[in-house]
Amino acid sequence: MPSLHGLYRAISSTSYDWTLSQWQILTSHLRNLSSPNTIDRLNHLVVDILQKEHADANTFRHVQTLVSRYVAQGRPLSGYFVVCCVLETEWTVLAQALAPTMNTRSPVVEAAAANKAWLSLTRNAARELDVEDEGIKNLLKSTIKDSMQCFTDLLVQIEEMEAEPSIDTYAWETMSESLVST
Amino acid sequence: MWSVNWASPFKEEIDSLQPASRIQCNIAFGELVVNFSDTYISNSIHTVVPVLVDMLQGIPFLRFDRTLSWDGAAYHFAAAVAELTFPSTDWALPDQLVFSTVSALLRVSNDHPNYGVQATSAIFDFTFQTIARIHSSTCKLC
Repeated sequence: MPSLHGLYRAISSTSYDWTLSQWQILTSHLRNLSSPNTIDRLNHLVVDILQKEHADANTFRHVQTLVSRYVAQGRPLSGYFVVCCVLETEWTVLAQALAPTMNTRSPVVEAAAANKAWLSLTRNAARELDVEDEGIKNLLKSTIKDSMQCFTDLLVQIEEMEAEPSIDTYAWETMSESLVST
Repeated sequence: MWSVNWASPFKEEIDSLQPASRIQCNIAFGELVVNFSDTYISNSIHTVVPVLVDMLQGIPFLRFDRTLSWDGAAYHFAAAVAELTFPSTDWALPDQLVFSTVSALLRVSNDHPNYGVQATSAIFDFTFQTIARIHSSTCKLC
């Protein structure tokens, strides 16, 4: 799971001139992570490791320290968190495929690429891309549907609970809106 | 000039334990590529990209040394005091390794678009493999 977090950090931080078909490939891989089963599995991963693998005291301490350090940085290594990473990774790539070309050299700052692409999209019209491929069209449509669904689910949950960090989902939702208008 | 002892995904090494020092070496290589001057990168691009690609593709098959010597707190404190602008938090070794390798690949192929396909397909392949490992429950937290 830390590997996925690293991937998410890299893609959302480094600007790159992604194309729509690259977005398609990446999204089709990442979608596999958003299934309820996987989310549940990842949510229980820590407990599972400790219980099923006959954890000795060392393993126990190791896992606990690792997880608590991530939590301290605001990154709980849970299934829900992975969904958040997946969404942000996807929209970062998509936004950069849509946004007019930007100057790509910049120092490494967390989520720099995501923010930059987003800014550029809000200020300039999206690039005119001739989407010919049916597969991409379908994926775009179902992504819009999924993100709306995700947004709705979260909204329902937030209404039931106190607070839920869902900034990325909001961003993603707006993102799909701009996609519709392209 | 690029002779780095990178963790290669050779068959006999799959699932073999990687010492932390070796992983740190690979992380440093990625960071070096990100920050190196364009001229050096251009001159050796034909060796840098395959090394990075190989490194990335080996990651899902590595078993990482259990180390906690990446404590972010002290580092964070030092960064705050010195007001340095380097990334102020350290993450677990696999996390750092993926970040530095993918960043390096993106950065290099940004400047050299003809390596774009190679770089991005390596990233997609890595994503696919990692997710497959999660599904086949061989995924380790660390």
